[in-house]
Amino acid sequence: MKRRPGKGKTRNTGRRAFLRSLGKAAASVGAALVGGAGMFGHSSTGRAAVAKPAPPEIPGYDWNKHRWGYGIDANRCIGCLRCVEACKAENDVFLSAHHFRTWVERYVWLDGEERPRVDSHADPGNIAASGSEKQFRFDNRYRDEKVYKAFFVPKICNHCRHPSCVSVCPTGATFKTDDGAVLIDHSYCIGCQYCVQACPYGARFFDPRTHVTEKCTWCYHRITKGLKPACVEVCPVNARIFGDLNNQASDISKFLRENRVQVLKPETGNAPTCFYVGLDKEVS
Amino acid sequence: MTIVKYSEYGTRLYSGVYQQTAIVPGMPTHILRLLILLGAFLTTALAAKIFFTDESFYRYGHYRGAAPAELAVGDPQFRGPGYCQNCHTERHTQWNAGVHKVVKCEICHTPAADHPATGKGKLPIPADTVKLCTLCHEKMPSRPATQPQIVVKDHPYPHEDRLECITCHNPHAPSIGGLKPAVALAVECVGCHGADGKGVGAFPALVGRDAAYLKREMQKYKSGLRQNPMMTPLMKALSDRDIEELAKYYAAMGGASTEAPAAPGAADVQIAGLTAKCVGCHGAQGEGVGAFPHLAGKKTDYLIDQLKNYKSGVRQDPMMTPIAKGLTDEQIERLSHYYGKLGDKSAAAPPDAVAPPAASTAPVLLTVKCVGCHGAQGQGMGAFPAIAGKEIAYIVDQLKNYKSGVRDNPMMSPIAKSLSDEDIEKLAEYYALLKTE
Ligand code: HEC
Ligand code: HEC
Ligand code: HEC
Ligand code: HEC
Ligand code: HEC
Ligand code: HEC
Ligand code: HEC
Repeated sequence: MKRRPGKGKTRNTGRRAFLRSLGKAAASVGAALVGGAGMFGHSSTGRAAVAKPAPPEIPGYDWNKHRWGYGIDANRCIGCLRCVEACKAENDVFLSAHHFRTWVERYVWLDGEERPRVDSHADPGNIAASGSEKQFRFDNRYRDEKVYKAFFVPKICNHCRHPSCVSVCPTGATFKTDDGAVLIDHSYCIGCQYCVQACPYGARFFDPRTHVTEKCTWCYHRITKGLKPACVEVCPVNARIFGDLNNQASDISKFLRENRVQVLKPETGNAPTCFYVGLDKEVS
Repeated sequence: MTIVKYSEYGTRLYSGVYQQTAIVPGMPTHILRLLILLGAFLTTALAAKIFFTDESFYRYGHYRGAAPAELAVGDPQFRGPGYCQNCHTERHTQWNAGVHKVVKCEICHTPAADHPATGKGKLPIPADTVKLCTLCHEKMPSRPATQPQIVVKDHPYPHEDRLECITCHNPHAPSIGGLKPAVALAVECVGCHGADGKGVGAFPALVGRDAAYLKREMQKYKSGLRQNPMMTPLMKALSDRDIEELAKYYAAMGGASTEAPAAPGAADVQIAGLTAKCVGCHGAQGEGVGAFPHLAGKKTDYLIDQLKNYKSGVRQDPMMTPIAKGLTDEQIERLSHYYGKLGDKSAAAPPDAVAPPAASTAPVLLTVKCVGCHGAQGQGMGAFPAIAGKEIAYIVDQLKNYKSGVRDNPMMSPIAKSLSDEDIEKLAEYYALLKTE
């Protein structure tokens, strides 16, 4: 049996389970009252503890040893969209032209025009060129135009250091891990979509199948096994770079050393850990 | 309990009427009830929180500490090329040595997941390679110039019909040097059967024919069952595998010839189309080279007779006989008139007409190597660029670039490498002066 990422044993601790256990809870209130001391005990063993808690039990992986970072070199991107398809396949992302964990935008300035024309996968022309909403391809609409400047920009969750999505989450369902990823605990997500609104980058979406919010995990099930995220793995031109910021020899450290990088929308104060090369003034 | 009028309430309160019933002295009972309720609520809430909050919550922060480990569960779908290496070693080695080693196997073959354990045991082989390859290679304004890009309908020569990319390219090592063996072999055929395999005159069309037919015919030449002075030695030099590759190659090109072997008696055949069959050997102007006699200036009647002799078998020559047999009587007359007149013209021509006589023989001899592709007059056809009328310096530069490897083309490079610098200059001069009509 294939196990899909992040779809391990979490399901039975979901919201329905919560309701089911409400009954049992009522019966235990009395017991809790008697053993009330527990509630003080709880808070004192919590955050206040000085010693760092043991890292999560992920076989062969210690998150204290890693600090992940992501790089995108837009100069290299050829717009083949293999990353988009790989992400969908790897993470069982809802197959439609409107739901993405990572996507690519096309910016085109035609001769004499002041503003770029921007299109992405939801564009009807691109859907038509792809043949269906389950495959992705950019159409060649500017083939016969006089193009002044044009390029592709891959987009993905920025895994911010100060993620606004985490700030607004009412249940603690979304969080930033110690190794740098912003993840969603689907069993705690109540589908309120505050985070979808709060993200300045539009990197989150509501999954119509499961009624919870979805986002890029940097393929957490891969990176914790020493693999690269699927999008990075398949990129034929090295436009996507991933690695450990703690390791000076990693691809990402090299990328940051050798390039002058930018982040998207720095004014939000979100402090992305996804760094870009080759952006233009209009790209945000 | 007596009913207290609202107006009396204050008086009673302050006179201490209620104080006797209060549990906590000085506190009104309803406030007390409220407090008890609040206390009960808080205890329940706290108890509920303790009971329902996962014990791992707050372990690392305001979230369930067990969540990261759960999210790390899951089997990767993309296994990476290293995974394929053990079982598909040959493919992997080939792929790893080529330009496509940046294109991971699973891009084209879909993610392996637990292949070959489940499913049908096989990963799909891409059926529509035009669709697949153009994802990355279609010429598009927003693609960086570093990416090799093509315009499908003009690649490698203009065509209407569908040409699967893998007819010529090996998907696992597609670079030009690694073009499928058939493409390299086919270079030997284009001189006679045309760049697009559509044939000219006596040279039959190869495209649009069944692979089995082509293979059988080629093997007949090889074994001697079918004899042709041009084809027999060529086919004898090919291995069975080469023959099969070539047959597949031409069959896959599809699109049957529109004007296959010239229809006998067709009155409208253009003279240029006819001479195309001769220039390869007798020179662009019928001037002849080495063992190939000159035709220009010979008596028209003589030419007619000789050609008819070859055709009837009275005169025999392994090269000329099949060609003459491919000509109708009408074509023989036209050709003979043409070459007969050509002689007069060149005899009467001013010294600077086409090329100075002193220098003319040498480059013409050399052009034998070129006419098959660039046309009798260097006018070019299809993917073969015109070279006639271009600047001398440009032609010299290009030929030297092919020779040195700065410019690379599977057809041009070996030819340019066979030319000396002197040859190159002579050829450049020759073609620069040659004007296309
Ligand atoms: C454990 C060995 C093993 C590994 C690893 C493996 N394969 Fe295979 N593969 C097989 C077998 C066995 C078949 C079935 C061959 C058959 O039935 O003809 C097969 C079939 C295929 C086919 C179809 C071939 C055909 O003739 O139809 C493709 C394509 C393929 N594999 C690609 C891959 C790729 C890409 C990878 C790496 C991601 C991979 N395989 C990894 C064993 C393996
Ligand atoms: C650019 C796309 C592309 C890539 C990358 C690619 N393949 Fe293929 N592969 C193809 C195509 C197209 C065919 C069908 C070839 C044919 O019919 O001649 C094929 C055929 C195969 C076959 C079946 C061969 C047969 O003779 O039936 C195997 C096995 C295979 N590939 C394995 C691999 C492995 C392993 C890798 C990575 C090391 C890989 N491929 C990378 C496109 C690709
Ligand atoms: C996922 C994108 C991708 C796909 C799909 C793909 N290629 Fe490529 N291909 C590349 C890249 C990237 C290079 C350039 C490698 C380099 O220059 O290092 C390349 C190189 C080439 C080259 C060499 C060009 C040169 O100038 O040497 C040829 C030829 C080629 N590909 C043909 C094909 C064919 C045929 C297919 C379909 C079977 C195909 N490609 C599918 C990405 C792709
Ligand atoms: C009839 C044979 C043939 C077919 C079919 C064919 N190619 Fe080519 N291809 C060639 C030859 C010959 C060259 C090298 C000469 C040239 O540059 O035009 C080449 C070169 C290339 C290059 C390198 C061009 C460059 O500028 O570096 C790419 C990329 C390429 N082909 C992709 C494709 C793709 C994609 C297809 C399918 C749509 C395809 N080819 C179909 C014969 C073919
Ligand atoms: C010097 C000129 C010349 C060259 C080079 C040449 N051919 Fe031919 N080919 C001919 C002629 C002439 C015929 C017709 C002969 C006949 O009728 O038997 C022919 C016939 C054929 C036929 C039989 C076609 C039919 O309809 O029966 C095939 C197949 C063929 N050639 C393939 C090739 C291949 C493949 C090559 C390249 C390796 C090649 N030829 C190179 C001149 C040439
Ligand atoms: C494959 C090379 C080749 C091609 C192509 C070719 N010829 Fe010839 N041709 C020869 C050779 C060799 C001779 C000399 C044969 C001999 O000595 O009998 C010759 C002889 C002749 C002769 C007799 C010349 C003389 O002085 O006796 C004529 C006429 C002639 N060719 C016409 C043509 C015409 C017209 C064409 C085009 C339809 C043509 N040839 C195509 C090789 C070729
Ligand atoms: C087998 C076919 C073939 C033969 C024979 C051949 N060429 Fe070419 N030639 C080509 C092709 C194909 C190109 C275009 C290649 C490219 O785009 O790089 C070309 C390009 C050229 C160019 C560059 C044209 C330009 O516009 O840049 C020159 C010059 C040239 N050939 C000269 C010659 C000369 C001189 C000969 C004879 C010695 C010759 N060729 C024989 C196929 C051939």
